[in-house]
Amino acid sequence: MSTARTSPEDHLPLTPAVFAILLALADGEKHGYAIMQEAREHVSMGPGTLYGTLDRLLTSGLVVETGLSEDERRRYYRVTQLGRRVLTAETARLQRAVAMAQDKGIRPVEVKA
Amino acid sequence: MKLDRFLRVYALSLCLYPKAFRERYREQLLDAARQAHDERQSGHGRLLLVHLRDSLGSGLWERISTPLRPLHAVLLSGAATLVLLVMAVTAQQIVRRQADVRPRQAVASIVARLGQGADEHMLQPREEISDLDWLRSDHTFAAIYNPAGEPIAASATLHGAFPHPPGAIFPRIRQTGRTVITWQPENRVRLALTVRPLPNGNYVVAGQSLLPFERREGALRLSFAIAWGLVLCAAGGLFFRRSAPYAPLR
Repeated sequence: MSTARTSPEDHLPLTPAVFAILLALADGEKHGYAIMQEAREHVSMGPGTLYGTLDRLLTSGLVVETGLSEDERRRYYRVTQLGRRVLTAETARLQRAVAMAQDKGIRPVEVKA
Repeated sequence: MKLDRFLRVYALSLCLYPKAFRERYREQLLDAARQAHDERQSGHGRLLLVHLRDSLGSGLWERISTPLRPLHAVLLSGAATLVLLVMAVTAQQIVRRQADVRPRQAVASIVARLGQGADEHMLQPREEISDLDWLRSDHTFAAIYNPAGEPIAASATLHGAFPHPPGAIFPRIRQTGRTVITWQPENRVRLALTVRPLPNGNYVVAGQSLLPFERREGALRLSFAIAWGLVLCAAGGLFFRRSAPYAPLR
């Protein structure tokens, strides 16, 4: 699906849901439920939120469908080159924000499980 | 909770999504719900609630993100218009009824004083109703009328004479029991009157200018008109805007 926004920076900043989905797909193609499982480590996400967000990522060319499972119940998704560049740019943006916070004396607090 | 029931309830909640979204993602949504159910040994009720909340939130979001169909735009505008109309009429009625509060209190006070033996001529004209300051104020006037509707005494005048509502209203008040009326003796003078018949055939009347209340009603009408315009603009915006269709199936 073509889009007018081809520069990674045009897509920034990403919403937490978009960032979590792209990050989940960064190490290879996955089906929807697997994406949701991994994304839930960062953000609260139900199936509707997942597929609504995935649809917008498909439309803007950051993600593509790669095929169906053997039983044809699951569709697999993969991040595109543009999607990977957007993810990289967002990670850099977040790193700059973290560095700025640290310069101001903000330190992460250890959270006990 | 058994898988069948879990999926049946969840499938119902998918009606919250636009039809195009359902057609595109229904099977995947159900599959994700099925896997989430299978991975848990217990807590399926809570899981279902989480899924239903997700359907409500993301379903409504998808609907808002999708252009309205013409019929839905018309229905939404019509329903909003109806709701605003009912609210506007109700608010107008409430404001109008506020104009009857002071006259009702004044009538009750005069009736009590008459009952204690006071004379009708305790009412002495001290104010002029046609005066713009009086019309803009929250002052009340009171008057007593004989059974024929002729004024006996009043606490205010209208162009120098006792206020004299049409005589026909008095017998009608006895017949109908309706004690609150609006009287417009001339163009810019509109009064909220409360009338109470007395056992001796006389009538006690008290009134207040409607001008301050009509100003409030005007402000309310303007607010509702603006709200109506905004609702129509919102419905028009949802109808006319373009959005990308859902990604096609491969």
